[in-house]
Amino acid sequence: MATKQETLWVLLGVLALLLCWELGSHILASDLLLPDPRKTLMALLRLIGTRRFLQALGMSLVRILFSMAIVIPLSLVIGIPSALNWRIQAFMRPLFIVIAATPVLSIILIAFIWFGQERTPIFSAFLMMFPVLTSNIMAGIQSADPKLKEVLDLYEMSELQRLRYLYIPSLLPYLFAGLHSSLSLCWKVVVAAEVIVQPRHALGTGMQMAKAQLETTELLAWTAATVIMAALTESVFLAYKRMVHDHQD
Amino acid sequence: MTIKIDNLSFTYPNTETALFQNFSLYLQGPGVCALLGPSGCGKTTLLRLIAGFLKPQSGTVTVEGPVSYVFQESRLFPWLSILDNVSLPLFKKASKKDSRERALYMLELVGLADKAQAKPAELSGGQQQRVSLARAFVFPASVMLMDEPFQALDLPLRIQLMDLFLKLLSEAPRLVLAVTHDPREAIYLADRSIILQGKPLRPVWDEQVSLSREGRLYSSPAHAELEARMFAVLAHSATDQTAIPGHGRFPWRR
Repeated sequence: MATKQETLWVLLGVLALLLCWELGSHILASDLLLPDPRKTLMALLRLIGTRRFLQALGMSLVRILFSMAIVIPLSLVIGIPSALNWRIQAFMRPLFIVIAATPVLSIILIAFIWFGQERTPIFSAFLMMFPVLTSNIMAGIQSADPKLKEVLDLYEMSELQRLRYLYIPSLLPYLFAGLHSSLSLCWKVVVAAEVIVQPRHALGTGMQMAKAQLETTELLAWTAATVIMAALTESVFLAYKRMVHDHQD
Repeated sequence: MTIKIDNLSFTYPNTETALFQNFSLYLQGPGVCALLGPSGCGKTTLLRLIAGFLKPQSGTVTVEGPVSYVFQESRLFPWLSILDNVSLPLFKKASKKDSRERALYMLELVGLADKAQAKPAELSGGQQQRVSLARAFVFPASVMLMDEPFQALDLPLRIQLMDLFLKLLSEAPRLVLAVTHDPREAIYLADRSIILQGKPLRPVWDEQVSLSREGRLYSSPAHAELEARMFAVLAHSATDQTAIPGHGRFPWRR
């Protein structure tokens, strides 16, 4: 019942947003400034049928998955020892501060010089997610129940067994929370980097081309495609998270 | 199967009063020794010093052989199955298959074999403590420490678990040092009882309990007689000495 009610309210929220959009485009009365939702939808449907769009969508998704595939193991490799050893934690702190304080655009521009068009979005997303995920992993390790740690101490379990039976299960909820918040950040950073560096196939490149040709309707269609993809990947991720959670319980 | 404590001194950081000062104790197994004393006097600290969780400021604690521990709360790993929780102490030395076989046998002894694949949250408090006992007994320890594991349970369940403990102990004899604040529990389980009191702590009662199994029952006169004597000592060590009628000093009797 609560889920049905919730869905209803979400739908009402979507309707309200569409209504505001419709109202805005009606007031501005210019497709160049703000085309209405119907025209944007038609442009999106036209785009979906094209090879260019599907390639762009596929490649942007690959970049997201690739950056995730790099950032998760690396955050674990850095985060776990940092949480368990204050020296490593202190040693890593300046790097995290520098990454957190550097503007995204600077990172994209510097990465462009180093890595070129294709790899810049992946590197930028990795760099944005890395501190978030690592600090979540560290918080997860530090949340491990000291009473359970005593049980492992008593039975003289090895470091690997401690990881397997205490630290990894303790950090999983934190890792998932970090991934959840990183996922939308990852889409934003990858598409922003694509807009700037313009790889051959990318949602961001499509947006940039549409903007250059003053095709606002198409620009909004590319944006809508990005939003829908971000929402879809989030749903898949949440379903996976629920599955792991049920398995743990 | 021995615990040897020599001239132990221990004070918690940021406190001034020493909990133990030149404290010595020798225990030899197999058998059960009950450790009694007022709540918060330092009984659990002594167990933690013996287990190696705390380090003494001076003196030595020597434990012969491996140690297992039944904690006050069950301390089960919530993400592991009951079977894996019981097998866990064996994973270091035996294969997972062998560990699980031995753990399953132990679960059969405590009557929870049908819950082997369940998670701890699916079990009641009493069942969780039975799993905790199984975990401590599956480990081939020479010394077992118990910290009021039956405290949170009602009397019938407590007696049921104490009987289970005695059954497991007969299967796998070892030296057990059991902390309790209940003399009835000590009489029911232990071959030797020690009451600690004061700051620093010192033994004020140290007696072998040589009652028969029938004599140890809560309803037996021998149990009642010993319980009264132990209560008198415990009441004397209590801060509020008027707490236990018949044993304390009442203000109007002065």
